[in-house]
Amino acid sequence: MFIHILNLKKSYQSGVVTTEVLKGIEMKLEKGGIGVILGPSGSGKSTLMNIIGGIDRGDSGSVVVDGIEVNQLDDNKLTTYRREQIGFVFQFYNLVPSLTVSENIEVVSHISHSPLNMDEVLEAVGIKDKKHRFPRELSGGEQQRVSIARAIIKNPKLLLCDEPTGALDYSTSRSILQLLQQVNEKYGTTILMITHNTAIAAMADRVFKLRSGEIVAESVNQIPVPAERIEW
Amino acid sequence: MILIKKVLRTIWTDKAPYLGSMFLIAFSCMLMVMMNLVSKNLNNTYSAYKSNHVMSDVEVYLDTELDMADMKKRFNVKIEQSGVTDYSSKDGQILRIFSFNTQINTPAVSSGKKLESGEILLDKLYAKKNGYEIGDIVQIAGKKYKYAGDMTLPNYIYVAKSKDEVIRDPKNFGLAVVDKDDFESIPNATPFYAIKFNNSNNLKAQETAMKGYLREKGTKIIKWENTEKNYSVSYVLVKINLMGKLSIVAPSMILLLTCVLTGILMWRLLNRESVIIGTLYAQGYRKKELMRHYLVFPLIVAGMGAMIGTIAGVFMINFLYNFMLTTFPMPKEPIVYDLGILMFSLLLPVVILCVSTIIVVNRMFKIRPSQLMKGNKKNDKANFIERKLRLDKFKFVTKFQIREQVRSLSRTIFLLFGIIVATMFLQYGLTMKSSVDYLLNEGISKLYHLKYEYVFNEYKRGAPPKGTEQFNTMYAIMDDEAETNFYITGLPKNSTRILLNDLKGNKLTPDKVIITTPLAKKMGLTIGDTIRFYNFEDGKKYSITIEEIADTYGGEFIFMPLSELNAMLDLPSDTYIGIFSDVEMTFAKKEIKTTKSMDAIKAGFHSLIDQMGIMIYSLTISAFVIGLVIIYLVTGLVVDEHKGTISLFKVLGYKKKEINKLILNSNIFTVIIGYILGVPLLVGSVDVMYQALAESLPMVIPAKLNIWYILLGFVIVMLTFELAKLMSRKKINRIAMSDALKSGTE
Ligand SMILES: Nc1ncnc2c1ncn2[C@@H]1O[C@H](COP(=O)(O)OP(=O)(O)OP(=O)(O)O)[C@@H](O)[C@H]1O
Ligand SMILES: [Mg+2]
Repeated sequence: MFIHILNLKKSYQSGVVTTEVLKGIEMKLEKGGIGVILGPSGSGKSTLMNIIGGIDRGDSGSVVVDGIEVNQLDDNKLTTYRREQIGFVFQFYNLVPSLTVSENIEVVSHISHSPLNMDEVLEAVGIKDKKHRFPRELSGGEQQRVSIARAIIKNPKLLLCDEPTGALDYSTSRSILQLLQQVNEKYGTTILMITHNTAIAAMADRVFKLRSGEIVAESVNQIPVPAERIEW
Repeated sequence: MILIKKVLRTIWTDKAPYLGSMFLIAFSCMLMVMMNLVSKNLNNTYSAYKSNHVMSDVEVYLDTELDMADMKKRFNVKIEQSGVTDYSSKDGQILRIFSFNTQINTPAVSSGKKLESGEILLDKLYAKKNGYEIGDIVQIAGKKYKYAGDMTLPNYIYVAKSKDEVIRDPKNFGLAVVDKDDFESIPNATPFYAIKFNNSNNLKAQETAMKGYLREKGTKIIKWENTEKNYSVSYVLVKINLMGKLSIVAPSMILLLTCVLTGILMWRLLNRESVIIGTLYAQGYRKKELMRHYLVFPLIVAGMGAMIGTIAGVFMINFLYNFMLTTFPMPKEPIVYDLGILMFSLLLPVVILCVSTIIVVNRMFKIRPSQLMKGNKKNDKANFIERKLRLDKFKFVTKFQIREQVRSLSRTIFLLFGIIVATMFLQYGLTMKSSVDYLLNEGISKLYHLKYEYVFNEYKRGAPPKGTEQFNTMYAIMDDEAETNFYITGLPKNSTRILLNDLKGNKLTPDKVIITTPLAKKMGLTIGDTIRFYNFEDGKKYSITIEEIADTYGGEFIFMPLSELNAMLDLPSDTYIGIFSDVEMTFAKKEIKTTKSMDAIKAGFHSLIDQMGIMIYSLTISAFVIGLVIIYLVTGLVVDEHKGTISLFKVLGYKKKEINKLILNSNIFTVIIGYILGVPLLVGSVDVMYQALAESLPMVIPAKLNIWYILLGFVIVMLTFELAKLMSRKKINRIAMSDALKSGTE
């Protein structure tokens, strides 16, 4: 198993109130698979993903990613873990506005051991001709492509996408999903994606439904649907 | 309004920039108020002293008695005959004794009692240093006097022995006053007349008329001394003027720069509030309400800062004022608090910061609220430089650092401005010190190669004593309004005692007419100019043409060949009036007119500077503190404005060190450039200040900054920057990764 989570718990303390956000998550995902996490707002999706990505830490339970017990790592090791294993794609792209497209990608390639070829990645995400543009000179979809390029340039083992299409329109969303699927196929990257949109679940190998910090349903797609055929 | 709570919370959560600004403002206000009010009060004190104790306009030494009644009638003046003598006791102490005047230059007696016969008044420091208690007996020329109290003299405020030895040495030199009848019995007294013109307008013309009348009558004027130009009074004036100008120029500049700086800071801080402003605006808050709300920021920061600073300044006045009065003893006047200055100090910061706030908030109102809510970032285009930059060849770190500087040009300029200001503050005191060092080392030491100068009462002829070098002088007075005066010194053509260089650094031998730089500057002369002047001794007119300018700040002189000077004065060519010597020599007392020791002169310079010292050093330290705070504030601002990027980099797996390097070091070039620009700007402005002071200073000071001080300043600025970086590092560590995940702005 590539991702293996056992009885993961997490609660937040604000003042005297303790909110239990994750109440014993169990989750598995195979290497090279695409997992989708569905769930209403506030159900703990981002919290879960942040723990998997080494941004946050669970209170108890175990989170194993490719043999690494993530929940046990100290801050320095977590940094190394994020740096070497994980690619992030965010809802709002989070590009550095002062840097050009290629420089934004370099933010990551600069610190990775064996990054992929820049032009190849730019080609793959379809923005090769825009490498000298600044983020604000790009559309939302193009910016998200840059953000994906930035995430995959280091050839991560795991790509974490928190609502990657949340800020995009229908057709752009579809092309982004297509791109993610291509990345998955081409580089064999395991992808875990959060979404509100149940239709998107069709493209996943595995779908996890989260409600109030618990996985209430888990389903396996034997034959995932190609992204271009998904409609909503 | 509930929003007031929000203001306080914003200030509290982001303490550093707000408190830092407040501190800067408070500090500058304190300096401003303190220096200005002390200078004002000193001025008042001096004026009050001058009029209450009827300071003379001139003191005149004549070869005959003056018909005072006739003069009073003729010239509308007050005249009082007075006398002075130097009484030296066995151990070399000199007590300069004056007769007790009742009309002009009346002593300010601390006890307030009238002086009885057989009593003596002393200057306080002398009495203290020599252990005299009131009631003690002071022996003068075999006669016993009872020490009855302390006094100060309006015509002798700065108690130093002579113009050349301006060091104050109360152990060995002091002033005394005795009753007129008692004074008669003291031997070797020189009588003089203290004169005060009743009409204080056009003094020069009145003096000229009086001089003319006396000459016409055949009275020889031995000395005509303008009281306010006499060193013992003029130093006080210089000091007051200097302080007045310094207190207006330096602290006002500091205050103004501080206000501009904090104004910009306020601007940037409020810019961050754009999302909130947009949201509130969209929800129906009126512009007026929002403006009122955001004006609370500058009102708190500037208002509190100015208030604290002004009050602190008012408390400090007494301390500085008393200190000044020990150096320049004058009867203390009640302190006057100039309302204008207090108001200025209270209002200037508030006004500038409020204006800055109004502009920035108004600018935001011009943007649609929807845009504001998104952070007002998306619409600004890549600027020209950004677009043109192709950085493919550089390493990523360099690329990032350059991009960051170029992206936010306004921030870079702000940082640059901050560093320039900080540099100027830091270097301010060092430049002053450097200038004086230059004056002493390059000026005096390089010019004079001698230890003693002896001037005789009578001309001598022939060869000077072995091991010495002879010279002749003439005291020249320009025939102009300012009555500029200077010595023309005749030197042997192969002089080894006075060494001169021209402006290019080549050696000059005194076989030409050479003017020193300060005198040339003062009179606006260049090579080839001819000046006309008269000889103070006999009033005859002469003229000479300047042939060279010497690059020295050692004094205001014209040097020329001894033989030519003698020819000009109609004297045999081997005549001399004085000698330069390396060893101390003894002459019969009546043979010698003056003795100068170079060491004493240098010590005098130092002491003069030391008196300015407390002011210079306190300004320097203040400037240093201000510089440090500025650099810290600006660096902190850079970190704050990079919050999103820092958070993102953390998520992406950057290590702390790497982030520090990327974010904090990107400013290093700006800091260096700021420093490089700051130094000449400072030297330039100090030069302007010195020039403004040139009239009131006894010497022309070149604005110089020693190369070592430049390096030292650089090290200090860099260390300060490192310190600020260190403090900012904590701030970087505190930034949470979740910041990047939540918002899409930057
Ligand atoms: N730092 C925090 N401190 C306290 N509570 C938090 C914190 N972060 C998240 N929470 C709480 O945890 C719960 C889950 O948050 P999470 O961001 O994981 O939800 P989500 O499923 O991603 O929602 P959305 O779809 O809106 O993004 C929420 O109720 C939230 O209030
Ligand atoms: Mg979420």
